[in-house]
Amino acid sequence: MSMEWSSVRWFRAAVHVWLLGYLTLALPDAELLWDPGLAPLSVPPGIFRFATHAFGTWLPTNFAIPAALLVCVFAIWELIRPGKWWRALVIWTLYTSLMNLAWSAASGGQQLIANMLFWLILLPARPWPAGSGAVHDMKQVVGTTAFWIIRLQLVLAYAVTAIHKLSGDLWTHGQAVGVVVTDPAYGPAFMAEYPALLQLLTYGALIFQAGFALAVWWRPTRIAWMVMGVLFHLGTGLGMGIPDMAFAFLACYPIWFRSIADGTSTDE
Amino acid sequence: MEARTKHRIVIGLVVLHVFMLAAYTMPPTYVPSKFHVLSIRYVRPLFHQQWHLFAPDPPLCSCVLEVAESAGEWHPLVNATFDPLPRRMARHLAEYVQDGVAEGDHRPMPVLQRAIRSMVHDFTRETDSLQFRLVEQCVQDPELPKDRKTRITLLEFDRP
Repeated sequence: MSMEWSSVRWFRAAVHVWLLGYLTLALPDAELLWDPGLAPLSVPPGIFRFATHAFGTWLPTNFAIPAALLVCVFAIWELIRPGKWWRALVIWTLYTSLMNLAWSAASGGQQLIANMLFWLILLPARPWPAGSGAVHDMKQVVGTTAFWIIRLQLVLAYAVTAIHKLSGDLWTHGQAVGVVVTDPAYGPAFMAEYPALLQLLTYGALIFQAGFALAVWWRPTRIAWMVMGVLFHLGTGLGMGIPDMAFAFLACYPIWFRSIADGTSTDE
Repeated sequence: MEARTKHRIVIGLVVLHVFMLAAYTMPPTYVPSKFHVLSIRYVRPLFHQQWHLFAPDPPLCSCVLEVAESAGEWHPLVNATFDPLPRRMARHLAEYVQDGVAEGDHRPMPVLQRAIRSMVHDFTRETDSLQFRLVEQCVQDPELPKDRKTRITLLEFDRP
C-alpha cells in the first residue's frame, strides 16, 4: 500500500491551519464555551478519559484558555517543523479535551479533526530512512495504517451521512434543503424563492456525498468531486453558519492528493 | 518482515478499524446489534463521531429559546450577532428543551435550567425575575417550507 508523502505534508498543514482558525473563533468566547456550569461535564468511564476528558479528570477547567494557547503554539510549531509525535499527542489531548468541555458547541467537523489529530500522532511527516529490523518494520506498518485510516475516515464520513439521508423521506423527495434554508437557525432563507434550485441542491448533495467513496479513487472523478466538495462546503459553511464543520472537511481533502511523479510516493 | 506480510497487517488493521467505525456510525437498524455493541466499546472512548446532521431528515420545527425580564420584551437567548459557537450552544439547549416539551414537560431539567441561566448572565445580571419560553416554527407542508406555523411554549423554571 503506497504512502503519498506530499499528501501527508499538505494534510498536516491544512489540519493545523484549521486548528488555529477554530481556536481563533473559540478564544473570544472562551468564558462561555469552556464554562462547565453552562455545559456540565459528563466524563465517560475507562482509562482513555484521562486523555479525552483531561478537564474532567486531572486538569482544572480554569486551565482551558492556557491550554488553547498552548495548542496554538504547538500547531504553529508543527507548521514550521512537522512530525514530532509527542507534540501531536499534546495537541490531540488538549484539543479533544477542550472540544469535550464545550460539548454543547461541538460539531461533526470538530470530531473529524479530533480523529485526524489522533492518527497524526502515528503518522510520520517524511519518508522512513532506509533500514531494516523489527522496529523499522513496525514503524512502517503503524505509519502506513495511520495514513490509510485517515484517508478512509473522510470517505466513511461522507458515505455514512449519505446512508442516513437515504433512509429519510425529505432527502429522497428533494425537499430537505428547502426545510434547512427556511429554518431561522441556518438559512439563507432567500433561497426558498427558488424551489427548482432547492430540489437540485438536495439531490446534488446526496449524489456528492454518496458518490465520494467511489469518485475519490480515480483522478478525473476525484478532481470533479473535490471541486464539488469545495463549493458544497463553502456554501454550507458560510451560508448556513457552520464554518468549523465545512472547513474541517476541506482540511482533510489534501490526504487524497496524489504526488505528481515527484518521487515522494513509496510502495511499502 | 516481507513486504507482503506488512501489506496484510496494514490491510487487516485498516479494515478492522473502518468496519468498527461503520458499525458505530451507521443507522442502528442496518447493523446487527451484536456488532453495534462491540463497535460502541471500541469507538466511543477514542474515536467518537456522528454523521447524521440534517439526517435522516432535517427537523421540521426550528426552535429558539427566548428570555424576558418580568413584563419586558422577549428576545432570543443569543442574538444573530453572536459568534457561531455560542449560537450553536443556544440551539442545542433549545433542542433539549424542545424534546422535553414534545413529551409534555414544560419544566426543563435542573441542569438545563442552570445552563440557560448561565447564558443569560452574559447580557444581564438580573436572573430572579426572568421568564423563558420556547418558540418553534414548524413546517406544515415540506413542499412549502417557508410557510411555518409559530408555536410558543412558556417554560417553568425553579427559583434560582
